[in-house]
Amino acid sequence: MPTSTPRRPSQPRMEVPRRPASWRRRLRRSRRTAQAAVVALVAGIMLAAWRADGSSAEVFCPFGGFETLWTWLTTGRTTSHLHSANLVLAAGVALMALAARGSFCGWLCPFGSLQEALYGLSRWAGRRIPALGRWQRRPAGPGWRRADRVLRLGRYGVLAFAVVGAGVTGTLVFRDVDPWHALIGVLEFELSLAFAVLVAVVLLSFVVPRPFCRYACPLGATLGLIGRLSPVAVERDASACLGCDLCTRACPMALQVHTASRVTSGQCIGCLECVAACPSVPALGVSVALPWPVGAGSVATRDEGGGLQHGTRADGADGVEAGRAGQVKEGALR
Amino acid sequence: MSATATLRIPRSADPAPTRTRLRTRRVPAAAPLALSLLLLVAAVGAAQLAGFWSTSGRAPGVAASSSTGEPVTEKDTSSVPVSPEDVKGWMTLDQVVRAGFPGVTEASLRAQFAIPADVALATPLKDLEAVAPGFDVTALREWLASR
Repeated sequence: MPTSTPRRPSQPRMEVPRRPASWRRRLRRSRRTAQAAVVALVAGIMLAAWRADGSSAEVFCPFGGFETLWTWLTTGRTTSHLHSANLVLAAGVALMALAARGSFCGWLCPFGSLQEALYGLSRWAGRRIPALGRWQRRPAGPGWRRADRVLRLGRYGVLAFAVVGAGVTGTLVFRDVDPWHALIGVLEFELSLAFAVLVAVVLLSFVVPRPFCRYACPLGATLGLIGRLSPVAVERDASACLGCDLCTRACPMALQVHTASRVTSGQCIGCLECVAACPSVPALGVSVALPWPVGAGSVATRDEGGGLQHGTRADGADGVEAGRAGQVKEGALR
Repeated sequence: MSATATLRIPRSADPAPTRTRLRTRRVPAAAPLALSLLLLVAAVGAAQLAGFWSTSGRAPGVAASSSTGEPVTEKDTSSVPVSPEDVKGWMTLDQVVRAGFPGVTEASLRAQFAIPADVALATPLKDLEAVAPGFDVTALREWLASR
């Protein structure tokens, strides 16, 4: 009768390639470079507009294209302050969303970059001021988590207000409260409601990463909706996952990456910070999928070798396919 | 990517299981990003080649007169709009007054939109929004159309 040798507790489950720190650094450096380049470009446009020898940065806002789309389709004209460049850029970022979800937000959007820089500044201060650092590291309470979930719906409300308002009135109704509009006109020192919103966003950015992106950005909401059609997403392989949640902690949008199978949330900005933070190469990466199920009542799951198996269907929450909510242990799928 | 070191995943690691409803295939992380940037650049390039790229109402294409079909000349402040739809933010008050819309005079225009008397006739319409609350080009077009 064969006897099975009991496994020692110290024996590892498996060995996987460790993600080199250089890869992580390269990815972050590339993103920072792209963000800085766009910010510099916008600053140049703002300066030229201020000197009255160039177009306003407003005509390079992709969301303007979505705002004026209905007017353009029905009358052949664009809303005041907007031009065909807005329509072209809107089409461009829509294509980007189809190819890589919210990559525009994570890699190019200058307003997102500004919020990220402010939050980074706050974290930098937190590392030097112990009391501030402790306050920043405190766990979020259930009340805040509930409020966060509800507030995240706000950007769909803003999107409806901006697009429907522009379509019905033929004017840019969101412009009066748009912090981006206030920011690109900041050299003109105009005190307005939009400027007050901008100040609020700047102050909030020291406490919450990307507050405008999370709760109010109509462009992010639009790209999130279009991105639902994208076959590309960050995918987690549980068999190679440590369960360390470094990915979740790195996510500027606070998505629960460490419990997701595929990060399909409309809030994902495609920054790949989660992938960069993950020490295990096969655990987290970018994958392409067909945007329809494998088959009715079946799901594809990954085995230890990285191949796909079929198991029982799991219901996906917003952006999180399966996860702990399913209460299925890994062994049950094998 | 070449990974030289290995990571030992202990048995105590307790990750949530992976369950996806889709057939998937891993791709290099940079590939979708590069493709998306390429698509953005291609969209802008194609629009410029097709003459659909305009960042100003003065540029031909968008500012084409609805009545004549002729594009409005670049920086041509001597021309006048022939219909309310042709009124653009870069045009001056003077151009609107000279257009000869029925019953539109400098006085009526200033009275309708509460434009201060010290605002010069050469002021572009887009700059009036800062000095005359309630003024915007769309409102002006609608007012001109109603005359």
